[in-house]
Amino acid sequence: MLPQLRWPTPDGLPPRAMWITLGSVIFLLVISAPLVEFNLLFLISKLDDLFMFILRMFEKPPPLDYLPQLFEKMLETLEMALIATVLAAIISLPIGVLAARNATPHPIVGQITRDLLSFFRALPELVWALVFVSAIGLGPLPGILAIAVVSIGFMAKFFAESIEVVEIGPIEGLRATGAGWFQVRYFAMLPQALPDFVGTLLYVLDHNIRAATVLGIVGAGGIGFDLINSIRYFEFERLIVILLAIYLAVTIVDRLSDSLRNRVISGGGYRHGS
Amino acid sequence: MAVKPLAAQSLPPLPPRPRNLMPIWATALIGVVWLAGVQLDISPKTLIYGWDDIVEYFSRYGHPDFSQAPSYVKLMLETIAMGFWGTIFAFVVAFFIAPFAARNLSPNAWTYNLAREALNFMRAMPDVLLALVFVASFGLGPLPGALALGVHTAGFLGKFFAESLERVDKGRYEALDAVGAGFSQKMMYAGWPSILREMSGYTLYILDRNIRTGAVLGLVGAGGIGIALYDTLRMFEYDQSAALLIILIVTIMLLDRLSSFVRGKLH
Amino acid sequence: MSAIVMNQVVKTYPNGTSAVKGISLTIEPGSFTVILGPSGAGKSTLLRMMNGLETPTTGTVHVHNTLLTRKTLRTVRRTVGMVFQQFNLVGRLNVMTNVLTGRLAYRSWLGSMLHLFRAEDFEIAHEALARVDLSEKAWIRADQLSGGQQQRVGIARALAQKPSIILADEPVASLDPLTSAEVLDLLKSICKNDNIAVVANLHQVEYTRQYADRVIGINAGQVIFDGPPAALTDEVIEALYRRPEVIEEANHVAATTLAYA
Repeated sequence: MLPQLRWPTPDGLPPRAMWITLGSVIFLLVISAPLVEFNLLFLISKLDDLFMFILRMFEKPPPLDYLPQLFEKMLETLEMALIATVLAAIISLPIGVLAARNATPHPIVGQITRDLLSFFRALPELVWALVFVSAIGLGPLPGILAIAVVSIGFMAKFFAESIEVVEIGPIEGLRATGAGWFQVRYFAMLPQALPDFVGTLLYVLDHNIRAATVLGIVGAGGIGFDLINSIRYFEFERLIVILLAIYLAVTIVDRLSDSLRNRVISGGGYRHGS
Repeated sequence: MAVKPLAAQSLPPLPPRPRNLMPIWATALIGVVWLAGVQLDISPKTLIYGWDDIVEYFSRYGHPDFSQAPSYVKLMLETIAMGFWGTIFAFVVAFFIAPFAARNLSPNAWTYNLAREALNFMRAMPDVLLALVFVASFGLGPLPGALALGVHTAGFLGKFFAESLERVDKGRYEALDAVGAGFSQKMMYAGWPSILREMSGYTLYILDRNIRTGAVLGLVGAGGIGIALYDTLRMFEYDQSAALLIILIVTIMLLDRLSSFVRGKLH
Repeated sequence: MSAIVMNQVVKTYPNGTSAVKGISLTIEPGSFTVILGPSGAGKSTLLRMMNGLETPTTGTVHVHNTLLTRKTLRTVRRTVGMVFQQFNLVGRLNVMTNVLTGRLAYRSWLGSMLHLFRAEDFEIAHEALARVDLSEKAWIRADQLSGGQQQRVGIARALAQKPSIILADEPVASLDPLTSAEVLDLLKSICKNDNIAVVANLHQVEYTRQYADRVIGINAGQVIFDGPPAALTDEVIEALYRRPEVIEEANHVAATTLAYA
C-alpha cells in the first residue's frame, strides 16, 4: 500500500503559484513543440552525427600554417569590439543625458531619445551588420557600426537610469551657485552616475567581443568569416583551432573584466545585465 | 572684497596634489583605439563621402510590403518558440549544474572546478557558432537553433544561479546540515527556495535575450524569421525586408515592455 | 542700497498648500539676520525664494536692485552664496573641485568641460579653503569628511562665489552642538569681517539669541516678529510656536514649545 503523501500546505496540494507556473510552461512547451519541430527520437538518432562532427575536428593535425592568419583575424575581432565599445561609450554619455527624465532638456526630447534607444536595442548585432554590409560594403567598418549601435542602445539606457537616481542635493547646491544648465549636469550629475557607467562598460565590452566573433558570417569582418568557411568547406582541423582561439579570448577577457570590475566598483552599485 | 584680505604668501600651503592618472589612461585608451583603427584601415571618410549612398540605401526601406505578413508572423512565432524552448533547456541544465558550481555547496573541489569550467565553456561559445555546428550535424530547422540558444545561455543561467546560491546566508544551509539532510534535500529546502525570486528574474531576462537572438539564427539555417530576412536582403527585396524588420522590431519592443512589466511585478 | 527686498511675496504650491502668505521685508547689507520659526512655518520656502530656487506665486524679489526673473537668475545667484542643511556637496569630487564649483557661474560651459580652471579661480578657492581652515583636506573626496567639515566646505564654496549675501538654510540642523557652534561662529565672523549679509534659518532659540543682529519670527507663512534678539521675550516665542487655529495639533505645539523653552 502506498504511504499517504501530502504537501506541506493547508490543503495538501502544491502551492498555487507553483502549479500555475509549471502548468503554463508545460502547456506552452506542448503547443510550441510543432513550431520548433521538436522530435526526441530524431534528436537521439542524430546524436552520432554530432559525435562524428566533433571527432572529425581531431582527425587531422592542426594546420600550423594557418596560425598567422588566425592571429591576425582574432586581433581584428578584438579591435572591432574595442573600437565599437569606446565609440559607443563616448556617444552614450550625451545621449544618456538626453534620455534621463531629470536631465533632459525637454520631456518630448527625452521620450524620443528613449524610443530611439529601444529601437537600437531591438535588433541583434548580426541583423544590424547585415543591413550595414548591404549599405557600405564588406569589411570591419559595418561590423563596428553594428556593434556600436546595439551598445549605444544598452549603455545610454543604463546611464540614463543611473542619472535618474542621483541625489538631488548636490544638484541644488550647484544650481544655487548660479551654475548653468550644462555645468549642473556635468559637475553634479555626471560624477554621481559615472561609477555605474564604468561597470556597464565592462559588461558591454565582454558581450561585444562575443558578438564580434560571429559578425564575419555576414561579411562584417573578424574571425567569423574564416569560421563559416571552415564549416562550409569541411575544413574541420581549421575549425577546432578557431573554436579554441575564440574560447581562449572570451575566457581571458571575461576573467580580466571580472577582476577589473571588482576593483573599480568595490562596494559600489553592482548590476547584472547588458 | 568678500574674503578677508590675506596675502597669497600667507595662505597655508595645500598638501601635495595626488597624481591624477586619468588623463594618462584616457590618452592611452584613445591611442590604442586609434592604432586599432589604423590597423583595420578604417577611415571616417568612408562614412562621410558615402553618406549620400547610405541615406539613399536606407530610403529603399520606405515601402514595406505586408502582402505576405501571415507567413512572416508564423516565422516570428517560430522564433519565439525557439527562444522559449532554448530558455527551458538552459533552465533545466543550469538547475542541475549550478549547485555544483557554487563554492559553498559543491561536494568537493573537483566537482566545483568541473562545473565551473563547463559553464564557462558554454558561455564562451557564441550561440550563432553553436547553431552552425548543430545545423551541420542535425540538419536545417529551428530545433538546432533552440539547442544552440539553450547551451549558450545555460552557461549564463548556471553562473547566475551559482552566484546567487553562494550569497544565501550560510545559516540556512547549516540548519539543514544539522538535521542530517542530503545534498539534494539541502538544495530543495534551502538553496532554491532562497533564490526563487532572483532565479525567475534571471530566467525572464534570458528568455527576452533568447527571443532577440533567435531572430538571427536563421542566418545560419537554424529556423525562424532570420531565414526570410537573409533571403529577402540577398535578393534585394527591400519592401519585404522592411516588412520583416518592422514585424521583428514591434514584436521585440512589445516583449521588452512585457518582460519589464513582469520583472517589476516580481520585485 | 538694500541687499534683498521682498515685496508682498506669496507662495502657494500646486497641491494647494500655501507656504508663504504675503511677506514683505528688507535685508540690509552686512547684517546677520536669523529667520526663526517652527518647522513647516515657511522659513525654508522664504529663504529659497531669495535666490530663485523657488519662484513666488505673486510678489517680487529684488536682490541689489535687480528684479529676480528667469533672465537675471544666473547673475543674481552668482553673488548670493547658499549653505544647506545637508551640505549638498558632490561627494565623489574632491574638496577643491567642490569649492571651485562656486566659480562656475563666472565661466562658460565649454571651459568647464575638462575640469580646467583658471589660476585666479584656484587662488580664490584656496583662500576660501584657508578661511574655513581645511587647506590640508583639499584633495580628499568630499564624502570622506565629517559632517562639520562638509559644512565648512559648503561655506567655502559659497565664499568662492565672492558673494555679498550668504543664505543658510538650517546650516546646523544636521550637526552636533559643538560643530554647530563652530559653523555659526564661522558664519558670524564672515558676516562681520567681510561685510557679507547672512540670512540664516534656525529653529533653535538659544543660537538665535547668541548670533543674530536681527530676528524675523515666522509662523504659518506670516511674519509674527521682527526686531533685535533682545526683544525676543518668552511671550513672543510662545506666540511664535503657537497654532491656535489647529486644536488637534495642540499637543505637538506644546511639545515643540517645551523643546525650545
